[in-house]
Amino acid sequence: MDASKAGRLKVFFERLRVAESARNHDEAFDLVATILNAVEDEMTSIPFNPTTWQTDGRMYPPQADAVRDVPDFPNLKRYRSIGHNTFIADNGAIEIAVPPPTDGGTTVFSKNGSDGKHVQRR
Amino acid sequence: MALAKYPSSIAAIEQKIRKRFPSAAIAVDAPSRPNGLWFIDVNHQGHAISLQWQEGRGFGMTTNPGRGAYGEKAHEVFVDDAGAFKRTVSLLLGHVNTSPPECVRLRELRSLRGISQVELAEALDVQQAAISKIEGRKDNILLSTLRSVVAAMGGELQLTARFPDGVEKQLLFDEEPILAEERLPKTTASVGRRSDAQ
Repeated sequence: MDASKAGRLKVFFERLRVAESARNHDEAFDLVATILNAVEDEMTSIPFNPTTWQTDGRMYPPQADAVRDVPDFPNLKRYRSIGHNTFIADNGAIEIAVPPPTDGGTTVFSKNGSDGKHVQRR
Repeated sequence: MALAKYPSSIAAIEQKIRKRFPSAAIAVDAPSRPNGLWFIDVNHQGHAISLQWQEGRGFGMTTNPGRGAYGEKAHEVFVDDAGAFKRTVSLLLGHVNTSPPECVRLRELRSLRGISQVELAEALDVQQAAISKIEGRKDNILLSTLRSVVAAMGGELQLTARFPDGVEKQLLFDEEPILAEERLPKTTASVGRRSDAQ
């Protein structure tokens, strides 16, 4: 039987936390996708189908068609998904936050880029 | 990248929600790319709904967005803003939550109920191979067969028709003929749970 989403999310965050820091945006984007897809492959029996519109129970990494620019921060991209914003910076830093107005934008995960700096978005 | 042009579907539902729920916090989140994914986040008296929209796909809707999950797709989908708005009103007024469709294969359902193929076959008075065949088939299955199998597990088969405007109706069928090769005994017997299910 598939593990719970909360359990899989915990494993995803833990693996992402201990992974080697990315050096740039594309590496960070791939890192998130690789780790989340591996977790879902290992802990669920749900086939990978990122174009599905209605949920199939699987969690998917940020999608290219959900990208947003971040005003005043040209080195930062925001990828929107239901319930989260995933910020990925040109230095490979990653931040996952809850979008307003659900709350004030609480950060639920943060990982520095390979230069040791975190996402600058305020 | 410039913001994508404000689509009429987004404008229409945003206006309707603002008019119906003037005190709600509403944020429209536009994509950077044309044909990108739009979001409307609504929070009314602590009840949060995330709507998504994309050209050619219609609306998606999820309450309590992101709780215990990440990157999940929409719980419910609607083809137009009228259906999505009607459902939004229903969810906000009733403080009701969306729920993801839980789909399982027949084999998984039997396993979840803790029933082996042998037990199910005994309850239906058929050979185990017949159960294996029913669970493995990829083409059509008679409703009567499915109804008997679910009943033998202790459940009741229900079919629901869901429409884009939010209307849901449970379907009723007259007794349909049962093909000889798929005939299963009309039994109300069901099997109990056991730990060594196949």
